[in-house]
Amino acid sequence: MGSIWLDGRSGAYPALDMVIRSAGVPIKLYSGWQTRSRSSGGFTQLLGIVCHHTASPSSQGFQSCWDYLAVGHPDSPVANMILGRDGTVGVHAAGASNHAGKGGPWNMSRGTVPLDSANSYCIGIEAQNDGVGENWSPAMMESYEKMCAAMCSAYGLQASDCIAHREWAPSRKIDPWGGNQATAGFVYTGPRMWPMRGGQGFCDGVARRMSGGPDTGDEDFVFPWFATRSA
Amino acid sequence: MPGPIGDMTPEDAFDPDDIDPEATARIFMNIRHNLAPEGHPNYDELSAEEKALYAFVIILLLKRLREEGTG
Repeated sequence: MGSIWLDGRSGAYPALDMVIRSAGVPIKLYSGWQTRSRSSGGFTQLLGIVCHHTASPSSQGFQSCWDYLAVGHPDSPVANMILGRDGTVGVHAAGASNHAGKGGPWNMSRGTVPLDSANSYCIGIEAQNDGVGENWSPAMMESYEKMCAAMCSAYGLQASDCIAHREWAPSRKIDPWGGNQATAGFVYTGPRMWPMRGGQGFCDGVARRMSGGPDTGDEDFVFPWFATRSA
Repeated sequence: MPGPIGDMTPEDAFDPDDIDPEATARIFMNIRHNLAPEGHPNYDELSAEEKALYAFVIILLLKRLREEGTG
């Protein structure tokens, strides 16, 4: 059972809401988010971020999907937060959550996530997308990269510590899956499993934002104090 | 079309980490609260003594399940 909570009570780990706000990403907080977790409580260690899509209908609204993730699913809380189609983030769990499950192990910059243990070692983000070709909106992709960059900076992680669910569990997962048309400026969102690395992947976009690269225009959201914090 | 969170399976909820009695008590209490809010407070509305009692019950249940080899 873990002791790391992302509501500000665990000294070296700033609160998720503050971190995401610092990225300039619109945010909502679900009632009780500070104490919500899976049955094991807080994170055992915080070594990475797992990116998902919800595989929910494109017609489903933000609130109903968020309710389902936070309190409605039999295994809720599902992930720590939702990313809506308009780029709004909804945080509903500061402790460990259910989202990644069986898979791994996976080597991160600060250590190895053990076999089947990503739920208690990684933040989970569920992004609203039907997973069968729905295009990803520009606002959503801006938020996805920005929030991951901010969390990596705040929690002493590297951009490469963002992994796709299909990387963690390749035999049973495909997410995140791209849209029928790639989103302008986010070439990895085309009609296939998102490439995460290799220069044109999601992690590369996050890395550019963390370094304040010239193509992002976002240089004011990184937590420089936390970025230099030792592991 | 997939349903809500169409790709979430029981395998995604698996994790070998130990059960936290307080977290588990909170989940149980809040499920009941969400299903029937009237007369069923959520966990954070309980007194410290009530919270401790619920956590103690969870510990006893887990002990029993482990003795039976099902926990």
